[in-house]
Amino acid sequence: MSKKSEKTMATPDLKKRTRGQQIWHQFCKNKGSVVGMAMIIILLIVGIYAQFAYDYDTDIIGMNVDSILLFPGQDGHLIGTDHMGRDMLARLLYGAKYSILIGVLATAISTVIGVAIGAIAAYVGGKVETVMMRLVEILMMIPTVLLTIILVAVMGVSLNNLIWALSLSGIPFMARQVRAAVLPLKDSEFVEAAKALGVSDFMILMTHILPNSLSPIIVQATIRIGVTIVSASVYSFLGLGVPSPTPEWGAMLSDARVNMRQYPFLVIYPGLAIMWTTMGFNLMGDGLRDALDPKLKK
Amino acid sequence: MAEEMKDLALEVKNLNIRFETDDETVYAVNGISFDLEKQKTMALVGETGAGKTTTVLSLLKLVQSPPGVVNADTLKVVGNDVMKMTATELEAMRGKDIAMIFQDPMSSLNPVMTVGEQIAESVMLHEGLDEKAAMEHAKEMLALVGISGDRVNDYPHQFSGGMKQRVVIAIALACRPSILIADEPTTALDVTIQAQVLELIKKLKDEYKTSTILVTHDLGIVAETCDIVAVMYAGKIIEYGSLEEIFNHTKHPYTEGLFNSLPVMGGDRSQKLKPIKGLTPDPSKIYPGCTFAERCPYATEKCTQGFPEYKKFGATHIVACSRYDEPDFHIERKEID
Amino acid sequence: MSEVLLDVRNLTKFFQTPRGTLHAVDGVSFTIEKGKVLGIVGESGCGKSTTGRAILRLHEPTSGEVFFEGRDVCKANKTEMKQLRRDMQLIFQDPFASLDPRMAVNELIREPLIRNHITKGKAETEKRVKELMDLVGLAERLYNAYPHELDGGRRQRIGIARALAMEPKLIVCDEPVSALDVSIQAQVINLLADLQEELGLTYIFITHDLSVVYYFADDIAVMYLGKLVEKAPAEELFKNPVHPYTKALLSAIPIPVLGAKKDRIVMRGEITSPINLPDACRFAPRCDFACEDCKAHDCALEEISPGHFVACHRWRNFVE
Repeated sequence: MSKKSEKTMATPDLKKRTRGQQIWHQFCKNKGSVVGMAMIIILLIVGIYAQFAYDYDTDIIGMNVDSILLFPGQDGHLIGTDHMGRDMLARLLYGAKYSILIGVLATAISTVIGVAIGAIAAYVGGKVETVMMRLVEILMMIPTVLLTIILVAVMGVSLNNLIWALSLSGIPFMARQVRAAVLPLKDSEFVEAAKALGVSDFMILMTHILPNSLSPIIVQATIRIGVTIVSASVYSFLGLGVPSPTPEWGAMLSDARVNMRQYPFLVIYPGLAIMWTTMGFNLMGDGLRDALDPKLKK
Repeated sequence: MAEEMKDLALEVKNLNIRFETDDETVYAVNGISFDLEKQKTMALVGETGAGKTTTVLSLLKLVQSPPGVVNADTLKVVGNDVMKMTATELEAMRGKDIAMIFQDPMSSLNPVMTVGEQIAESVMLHEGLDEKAAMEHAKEMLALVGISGDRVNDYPHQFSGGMKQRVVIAIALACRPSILIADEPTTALDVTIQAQVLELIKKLKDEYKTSTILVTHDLGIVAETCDIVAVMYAGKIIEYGSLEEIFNHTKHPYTEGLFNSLPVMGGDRSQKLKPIKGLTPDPSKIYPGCTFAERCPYATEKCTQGFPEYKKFGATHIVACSRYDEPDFHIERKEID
Repeated sequence: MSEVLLDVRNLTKFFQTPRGTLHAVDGVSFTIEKGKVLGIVGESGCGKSTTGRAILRLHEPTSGEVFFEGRDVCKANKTEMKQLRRDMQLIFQDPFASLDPRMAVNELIREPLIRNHITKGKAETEKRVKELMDLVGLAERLYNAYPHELDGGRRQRIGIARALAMEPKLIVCDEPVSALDVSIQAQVINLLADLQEELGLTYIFITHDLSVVYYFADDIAVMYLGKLVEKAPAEELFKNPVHPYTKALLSAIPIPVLGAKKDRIVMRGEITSPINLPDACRFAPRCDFACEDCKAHDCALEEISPGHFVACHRWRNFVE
């Protein structure tokens, strides 16, 4: 009786926007995040452009004795040249590839492993949780620099090893973040409802718990990309990361150490590039957090 | 005239409240007017989203602004215009002239202050008592609401739900306010505890001679505690009258629908409930006609054109329904479908 | 005498807390016949929800037996449990918290169908989802809507559709209408009553509000601090309540009729802690009629007239 009449009556219009559109709308409201995204898009375009515009052997690592340490503007070198006479701008733009690669790859690896550890630990609980989380904490207790030194000492200095080292040191943060996100979900009523409907634990984890803890994961990941890029530069600067002459920004900073006082532009521009990238990812991460938080909607 | 004014605890004329956000504007309260005589208890009845809580919050000027925008021709609390008050005057008024009991006793108490401190706080502020005297007063207030005065130094978490609500009542009444606003004071409590708290509120309002507004969705509570009833629907008062008029001479189809939806113990068990069809209207839309028209079993073409004028029946009974333009129209208080 | 669908014997659920053992459900026994509605009534903390969940083994019972169509639910293994899950379903109190906010209406209703292989193939599933939506009165245009876009009544209809997807014989309704507005509450109560009639369902209807079950429960069981204190056919319980707690509970409900009743029993105190209970009648500290006997040892459920059970030492004093 009553249930039949329900169908005929007028109701308020449902929002036509899909969830994706809603998130986009919310994201665009935050000016900072839009700026951040623009910064990253510019970086990507420039980085891709550089791969085609310059020849690695001649423009990027080739020595050029005629133009050693030229100041910005001299001889058409917009931001000068380094101690090997290489164009700083070319190296800087080409180097964007390494920073983004390291940032994204290392973060992706630590995210996948961290999510698995955090989600399983929180969902299973009990002894499994205790053991897993204690291991993660042990990993976290080792200073990151020390961990990287050990790894690099064992495996040698290379781009790959740097990425592995950075991934490893990123796992604890991700695992703890995910565990914190999953714990309240695990006891939520809709998970209990799914259990009552005969849904298996694995499917509950995949279809209910992970999608609902996605926001903190995505946000943490974007912010960690920025952090990772900075640490990669630090290790390269210390000589533990990408070896010279690869135009990684940290390595460029390291190369500039000797001539820094007379030729400050050697450190200013790579520094700015690192700042630009980190800021871009952080701003975007902030905006994403707000856009993905359903509590901030409406 | 001046004499008459003094008898009013509250005077509200054409109160409008809307919430403006980037996405939409929500019209929470749409032109309501009512007076509350001293020492009377008025029930503000309605369902979720009817604008009951927003209305009473505006009496204390507690509507968050932005996004809230409050407009009123008159909004007077014991003769003083709330709209024109400065921040200091408002602070002086809240707690002293008008006090509020909130729905959730768990979240309206500060967990890191003893209940005594929380009661004493407003007494010290409004009555200028020193700390010692204020704590003495707090003990008396606790005793008044049926809690031993020895517990004055206990923290809220040491009390059960019903006891916490008693503490909240003690805080509200500590400065002997002339007006008490109780916003769903028993909704979070169990029935047997609800009975205790309602008895307490009834007893205290007689003792303290306060005028009371009771916001509730429960007509059973209204029947037991109130003198006057205002039924709200979609930000408007659609029926207003004495308890007797509303309960025994229901006029508005929505009020009728509310009564019919209620399971009443002692009624005919073989009968089914008769719910109001449909849902409450979208508050972000402006309806040209009667807001209840699309759910109303009596609605005619005319109902969708212009909100009905208020019609007066008898001394106090006021109804907003166009159908009463027809002299022989009456509702049946029976099955609507 | 129709067949017994569910037979609960001495069901017990204790929780270990830092302060001691919490007696959430303490030796509850009852039976429900097929096609009947049992209302379990009590205040918060009386163990009524835990009882419902223990029957479905969402909380593993500490001890006791639950026989569903003769099979012991508590001893069922994983495969048997899977079948029993289909036969016994739960409708939750909070229609917002019990629905995954990231799933649309159709996904929510589809989930039980797919995960339990109830329907085969996409087309059949699709058809069944639409059938279920129609059955509970959800308009088809809500197919892609998300729970947060809907009101409480519609959300509860989704919850009901999900339970019905399993084609259950028994549904435990855990306060299904207490989070809803009165006008919507009546819609949902009527829907549940209609479905019960149409599909021949058996309900356990858990609620704190006696007036809600007044209309369609066949039997009513009143719980206090983990124990059944009174159980009787609805008619009998409303007319001749015997246990002092039942009487107080009945009289505490405000009735929206002027001059309806005036002999209210306002109970003293509040529900005591269910942790480390002494061997005594649990209601004794609040009971106006408690005697030495009540404080010395606990009382068992006794049948005082056919179908009417009371757990009270002094019930003879309350019956004329």
